[in-house]
Amino acid sequence: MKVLGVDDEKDIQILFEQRFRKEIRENQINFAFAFSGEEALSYLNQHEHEAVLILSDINMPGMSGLELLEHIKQKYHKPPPVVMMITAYGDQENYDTAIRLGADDFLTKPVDFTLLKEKLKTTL
Amino acid sequence: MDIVPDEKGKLWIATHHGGLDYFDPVTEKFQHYKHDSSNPGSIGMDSLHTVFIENDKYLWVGAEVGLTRLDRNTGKFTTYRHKQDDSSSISSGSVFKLTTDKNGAVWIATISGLEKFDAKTGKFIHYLPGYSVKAIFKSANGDLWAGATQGLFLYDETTGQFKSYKPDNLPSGIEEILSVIGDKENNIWITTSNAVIRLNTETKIAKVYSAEYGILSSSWNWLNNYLSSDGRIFIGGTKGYYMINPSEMIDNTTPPILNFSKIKISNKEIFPDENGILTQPIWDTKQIILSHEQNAFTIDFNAIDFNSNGPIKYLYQLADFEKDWHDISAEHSASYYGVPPGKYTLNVKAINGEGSMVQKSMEIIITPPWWQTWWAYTVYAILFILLGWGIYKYQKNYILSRERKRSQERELAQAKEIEKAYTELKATQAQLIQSEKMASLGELTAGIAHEIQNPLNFVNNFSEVNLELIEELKSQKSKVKSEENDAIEKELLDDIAQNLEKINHHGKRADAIVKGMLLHSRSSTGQKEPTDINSLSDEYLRLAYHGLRAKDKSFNATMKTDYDTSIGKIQVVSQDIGRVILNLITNAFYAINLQQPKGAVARGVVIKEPTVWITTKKSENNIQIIVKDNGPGIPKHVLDKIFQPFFTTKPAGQGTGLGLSLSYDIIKAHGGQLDVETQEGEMTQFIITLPIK
Repeated sequence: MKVLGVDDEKDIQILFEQRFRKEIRENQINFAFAFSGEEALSYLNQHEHEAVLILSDINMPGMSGLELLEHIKQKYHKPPPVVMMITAYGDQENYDTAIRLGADDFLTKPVDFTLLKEKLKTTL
Repeated sequence: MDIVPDEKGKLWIATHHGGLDYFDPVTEKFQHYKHDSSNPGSIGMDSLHTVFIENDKYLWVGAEVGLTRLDRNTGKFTTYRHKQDDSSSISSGSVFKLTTDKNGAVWIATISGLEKFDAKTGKFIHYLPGYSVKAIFKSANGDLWAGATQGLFLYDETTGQFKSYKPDNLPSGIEEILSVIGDKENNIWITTSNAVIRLNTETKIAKVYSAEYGILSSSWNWLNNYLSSDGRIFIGGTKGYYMINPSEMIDNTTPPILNFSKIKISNKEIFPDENGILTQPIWDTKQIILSHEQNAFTIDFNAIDFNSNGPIKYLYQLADFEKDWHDISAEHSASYYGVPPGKYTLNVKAINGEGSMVQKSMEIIITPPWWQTWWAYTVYAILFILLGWGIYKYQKNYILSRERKRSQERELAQAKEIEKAYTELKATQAQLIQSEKMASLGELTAGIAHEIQNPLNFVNNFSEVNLELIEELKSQKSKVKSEENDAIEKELLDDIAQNLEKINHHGKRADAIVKGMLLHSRSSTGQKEPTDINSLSDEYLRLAYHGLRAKDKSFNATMKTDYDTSIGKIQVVSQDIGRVILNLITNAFYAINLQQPKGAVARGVVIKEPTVWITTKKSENNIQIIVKDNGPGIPKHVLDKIFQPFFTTKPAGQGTGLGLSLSYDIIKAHGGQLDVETQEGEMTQFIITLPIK
């Protein structure tokens, strides 16, 4: 499956690739990365037919993770991708907004990769 | 004893001790009226002084004590006596004479005053109380005269009182009057204890007939004077009557010749002298001018009379100095001393024995001393005015200087007040700067936390990953050596190295953030140090962004940076410049957020992509840091004020109004300048220009 990681921190790519090295090597998960909301949207436009799970940070310059979520949930109906929001601010407001906008899950930084792996596996 | 004839020619006789008699000259018979204590209608007393027929109804009898009235129709008497407890009763003592005035009222002369009988009430009204009034007489013209021991009095109808009357030539008046009667030639004849005096009521001149005319004094039967029908006057004495025929009394009307004869000043006689007080003989002098030191003087006068055999009497008066005349009889000099400066008239009258009078006057001027002259008074007035003016000036100056002093003191106090206020303001400003710093730090805290958390997350994650990688590497080592294994081993080692590098990188990043925060919160050292403007800008851009995001979750903005890498390091006080950049970026974010209402994004309404641009540029001598936003711009009326301290457009409590003011000061202190360019509805850009050296 295809997982799109969205974060303005570019080192997230290296981190994810290493954290999920086994899953990547075994071709269980395919990772793509976007470093802003805008970039994520353009990636989704180009790879419309791929089944995608989106892991997105909320706090990003430019388009925020929540805006991205709103766009995805409003415009990409078939099939609606699974969107998991990750934020450093594990506050109720962010959580509520994310859920209202249709987020499938909500994770708090620092990311517990074991938990994330479990969630990804169940989603798959 | 007194005898009065009635209308029928019969006589009423008041006897001294025998009561009242009525005598008929035809039958020669007497009718006696005697007191009878058993008959209340009988005459009240037998010791009588005078009888008076009021009219055909009443006849009055004045007694030694009291008064009695006969009703001529009934023959009954009514007696009036003094009553101690009744003030309207007749006054006590002897009754001497009665008369009626022109209105018909009865007047009674008594030893203790003059009485007027009120016929309606039967009461007595008292005049001249305490005076021994012996005569009451109504003259032909209706004047009512009263003669008393104390003088001659004339009734004044306007005041209803008796006024003392003094003939012009007898200024001391006539005293010891026993009787007053009138003749047919406007004279009244007054009998005194030692003379008979004829007073002409028209000329007010009295003529005194005494011993030199053969009048023997102290021998009067003074109650028995009367005017006969042929005009002669009979005055009764103890040894017979004096008969005077007034028409035969021809007066010597030639007045005496009166002249001033001598003047003495301070008892020294003054003689005529060309330059002296007298330039002519004193009898030809009309005016004498004396100095204030010559105000003790005596002037003699003399009258010559060739016709009169009586002595010449003199009177004098210094008019305007005194009111009364001096009656000096036969002396003939007037002495004055201590007469104040002024203009006076010395009047002298000489009266000969016939009563003819002459008057002569002389003007006497006593000049004032120089200090009392008009020019002296003028000088006084001028001096007074000058003094007044001087006092006024002095007062004015005094008040002015006092006011000046006061206002100086006030100003000084105000200056002190201002200084104090200034000091306080300085302190407050310092406090505000500090709180502004802390406020911006507070705003940043969340951002900083996030900024630190991100690198820390990486550090943690990469170190965890490294542990995993090392485990994997170990398991690879235990495997049989193969080329594939070698490749995997190499990959693992490379990853570990890369991760360590990342750990190091993110550790440093966190370190830099903490340092930056400390730097910001610390007071400025004022020390310039080489600073990388680009990274400083970037760091604060991120801080500002995350700070705002931490406060407002819906906030978002696009940030575009364009850094000129050729800038390198510039000598600046980095925390100060950092604050300016932070301030400008925060303002820019605030501005773009203004036209982006909350929830607009959620509704998909985005008018314009809110963007903040940070640009750095290097030119020959300076660098520029440009912070631009596409917010609503700054209105013109606000533009002038944005650098003023405490000016803010933010809602109360959200801005200190010090940010731009402080930024301006900081840039000035660096020798640079802070400019603003704006287009309403389009953009705003702040340009920091700093010199390279």
